[in-house]
Amino acid sequence: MTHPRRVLLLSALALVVSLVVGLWTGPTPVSLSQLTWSLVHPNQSLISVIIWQIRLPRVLAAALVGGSLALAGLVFQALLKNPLADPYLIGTSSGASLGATLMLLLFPAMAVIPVGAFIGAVAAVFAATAAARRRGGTSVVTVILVGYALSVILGATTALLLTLHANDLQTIFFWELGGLGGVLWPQVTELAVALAVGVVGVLYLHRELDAVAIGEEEAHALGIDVRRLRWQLIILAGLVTAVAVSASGLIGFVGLVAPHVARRLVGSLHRYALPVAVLGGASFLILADTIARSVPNIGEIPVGIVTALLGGPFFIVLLLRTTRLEGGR
Amino acid sequence: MSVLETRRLSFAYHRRLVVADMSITIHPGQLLAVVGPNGAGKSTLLRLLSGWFEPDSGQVLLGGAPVRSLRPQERARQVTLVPQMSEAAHDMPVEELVALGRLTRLSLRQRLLLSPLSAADQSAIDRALSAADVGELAKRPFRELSGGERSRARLAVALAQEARWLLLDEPEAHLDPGHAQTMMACLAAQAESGHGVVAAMHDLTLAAAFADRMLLMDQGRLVAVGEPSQVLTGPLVQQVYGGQLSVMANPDGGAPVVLPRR
Repeated sequence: MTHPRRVLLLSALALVVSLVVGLWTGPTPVSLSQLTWSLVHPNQSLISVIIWQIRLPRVLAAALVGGSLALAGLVFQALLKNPLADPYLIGTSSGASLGATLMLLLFPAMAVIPVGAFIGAVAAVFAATAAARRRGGTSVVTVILVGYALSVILGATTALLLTLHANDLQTIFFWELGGLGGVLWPQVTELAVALAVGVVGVLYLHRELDAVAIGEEEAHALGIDVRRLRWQLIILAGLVTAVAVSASGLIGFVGLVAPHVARRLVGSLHRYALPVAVLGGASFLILADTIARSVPNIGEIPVGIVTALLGGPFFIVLLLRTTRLEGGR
Repeated sequence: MSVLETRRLSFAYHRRLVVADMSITIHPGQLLAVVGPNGAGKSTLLRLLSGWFEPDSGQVLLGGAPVRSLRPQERARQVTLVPQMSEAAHDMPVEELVALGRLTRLSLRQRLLLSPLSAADQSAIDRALSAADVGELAKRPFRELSGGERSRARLAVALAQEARWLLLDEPEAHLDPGHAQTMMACLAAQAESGHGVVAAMHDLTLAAAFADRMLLMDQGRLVAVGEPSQVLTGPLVQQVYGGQLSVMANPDGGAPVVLPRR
């Protein structure tokens, strides 16, 4: 078995282990045999209801959101040729969140929140990539700074709208820090459909992604319509980000950490990096969410706090390494 | 036989004309070396020929059709460009890099990894690897290659495309004299087998030794085009590059030699 295939198999195993840990952990103690039994034979017992109605949707949502954010991060890193790109850091998640909030306020009765989130996400990516594509080139760090400023502005606008209209600090808190509490089966289905579309779409374009990560001029010479490819990728990444943000608010750094670890393990060929990053992002967020809901004496904290505390230092290390490579620009 | 031609081609960059009113016709089966000082517009000309840049006025015609009007897949089977090498290096294995040359020919099932590359694609990749002499390096990551090996690997990508027209921006850059010579011999062989090869170059002596024709440009304008002995004359070289170079007849009776002087 080749090295990338071995890593792929191990990533799949890691996801299975994370799923079990996530289902097993919670305020109501459950033994492994009870867990297995209630998974195989759903019934009306309390444990079965806890597993099927509370833990399973939540753990699956964590996996799907983690996979979605990892996929978006992988795409942005190749598209922007920027190792620091992440949907949270470059403002895509905030764009989705603002779009979702606007929809919520304008059409409160309609289930169009993900549509608003999608429009907001795509608009924010477009703004960030436009900044990255100025003639003469822009440094990796500048793009991140512009993206971060964008994300702060969009986040503040969202908070302002919510304060004015909803006056509900709990909701703002949820959006800003991200949380998977109260996720229901319909949202899990939405997340699964969006991630499936995203994975198949990016897999279809995996060699284009390899080519464009080398250079846009090279990609053009190979027969790629670079402008069309950019739109296809922005739409796919925007879709998965929008649905993830609609379900769970702003969760940072998963899209940064998972693709990096994946490329470190299997190299930058996207046909390997894609599945490893998605599986890794899924495991990472399940474990982060399990930590978030197991804090002693408090019970539950927003999962975004956990991913930020774990991913933030990672980001700083990458940032320092990148600026050193760029000669301190 | 289709030709690659430009008609009154102009392109400005930040309001400065980089290619000015150029009309040239390039025939397949020849190695054309484009020479001229830094900023003469060589790279821009190649990018216009490849369809990457849109002309501000004039046209680039490939077999009579504007190159930018072709569908990207169709264009890539006609013409390809190897741009100047950037500093950034990726870790793709050489054979995967070369496989990108077959990108536009993949089926849906191949794109989704449900079936392997076709025999035709695989043999084109193998031919390209051996023509560029990188067969031994097939499994090595690009990042670990030396400068000369990287240049050959990038050439192999273009060869795998099997495009009729091969454009190269400074193929001899970063190469020692021996490797530069091997590279040029490979390009000359491609021209001999019927491809049209256009290479922007800085090494005038090397260009003259291998090119069938040379095109000298300065400040975006065509200065001279023709056989190396017609283009590399003392007066023209001194006019374009300054007075510190002299052109000598080759003692072996071949193409002219450009010598620096103190």
